[in-house]
Amino acid sequence: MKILNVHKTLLLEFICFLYVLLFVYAAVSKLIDFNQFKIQLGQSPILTAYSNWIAWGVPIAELIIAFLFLCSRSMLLAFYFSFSLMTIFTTYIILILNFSDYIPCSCGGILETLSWNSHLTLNFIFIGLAVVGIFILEYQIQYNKQ
Amino acid sequence: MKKKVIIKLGFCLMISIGLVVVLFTFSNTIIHKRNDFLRVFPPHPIRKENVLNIKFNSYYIAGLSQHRIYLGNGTAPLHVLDLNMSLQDSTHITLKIEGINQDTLASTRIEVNPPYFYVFDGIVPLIYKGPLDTWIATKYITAPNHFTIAEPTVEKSIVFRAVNSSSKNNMLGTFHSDTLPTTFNTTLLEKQIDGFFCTDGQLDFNTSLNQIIYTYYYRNQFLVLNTDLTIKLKGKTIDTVSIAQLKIANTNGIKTMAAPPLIVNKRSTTYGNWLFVQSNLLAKNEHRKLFDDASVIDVYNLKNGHYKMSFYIPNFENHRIKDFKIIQDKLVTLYEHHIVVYTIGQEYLNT
Repeated sequence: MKILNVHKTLLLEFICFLYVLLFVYAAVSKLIDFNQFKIQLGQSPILTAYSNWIAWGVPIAELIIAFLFLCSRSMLLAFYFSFSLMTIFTTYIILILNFSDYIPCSCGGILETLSWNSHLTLNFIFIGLAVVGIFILEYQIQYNKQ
Repeated sequence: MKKKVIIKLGFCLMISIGLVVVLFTFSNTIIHKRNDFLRVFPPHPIRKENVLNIKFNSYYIAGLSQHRIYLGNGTAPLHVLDLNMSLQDSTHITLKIEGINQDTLASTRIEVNPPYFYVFDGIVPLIYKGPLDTWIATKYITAPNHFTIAEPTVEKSIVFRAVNSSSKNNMLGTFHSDTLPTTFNTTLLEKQIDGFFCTDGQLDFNTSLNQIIYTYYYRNQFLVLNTDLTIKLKGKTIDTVSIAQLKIANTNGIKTMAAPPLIVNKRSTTYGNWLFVQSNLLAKNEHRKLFDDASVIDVYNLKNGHYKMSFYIPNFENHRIKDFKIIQDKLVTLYEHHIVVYTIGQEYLNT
């Protein structure tokens, strides 16, 4: 049981690390080329109407969540937020691919080279990781309480 | 324990999906129905195909057929340049107007509507028509009054805009074959300021829907009319200028513009179910730099008046387009000294 817990903690830290990496990278690459990002959002058939506040909101949310991952007390919250944010991104992609007037060019960074479908796969993997992380953490918190 | 976590996750899932779906629905209504000046730009809308230097800047696009482009010339009213879509074969044509001395022409415009061409002169006034293979025009319809612009519509019928001699306001009307009287409609063009400048606009005729379109230059409106001049619909362009912003000076009964007007819709053309409007105004979500280096075209659905999308026609050698027309998947544009043919992505203009 003890060994298993060590493994679980390692896995948990690894997932945290991946998420921090993803969000910091995503946020920074958006902010570095902020104008370009804003234009791309403006060209999105779903987000045009709200592109201004989404352009700021998304990278800020990503940075805040990355920060929450770093403190053990807010880690669980960070996981739930990440789960939600990834679900939002995924729903967005699914809607774009199936229900919109046209499909825009995809977003910046490494993701620029990804097709919409590999983007979707990546998102599902991260959603899965968040779920795993949440379960480990919830059980640990429960265990510590007892 | 497990159940509690699943409930929490389910809650997050529902909120997140719900949020995006709501945004999506709202975005669709905001953009296509009650747009308050946002543009959507699908990727890769047009592709440049051919360029030709036509040397003079006095040309305008008189009309298109599936494979050919006809340019009229403002300074040489009887001269027509006939080109194919690949711009490789061009013919200079001098057309003949039977029984008319060229010196009597005052403000002549050629309109090509295959297999015929039309000659309009609203000051003389005359309306002539001829087949494209002979380029000889004969008298088509007797115009009993002067007119400022005209468009051939259905067989033996011409829609025109003229100045009402008593009110001095613009009005629309139709000339018919010689047996039917000319009809006027003085209420279609709605006066906002002076009735003359404020109602100025462009007249187009859509041959596939058989509808007349009048796009105002100085307000965010276009009218879609049946050929008997009844209103089919009043469309709204996406900008917010609902009242023309003009300053009119009146000196000794002669009206002039006292300040440069705010042009909203610069130019328009129509093809299929669509109205293409070259807008002069920057949208809320648009980038200044992109806007400055191109001409923006907004596309409207003539069946319901809804906004569909926008695309840019890039400047050529630092010049904006001077004229444009569309047929099928071809967008023909005229710049200062060049004619450029683009292909439009057809996936955007289906249905």
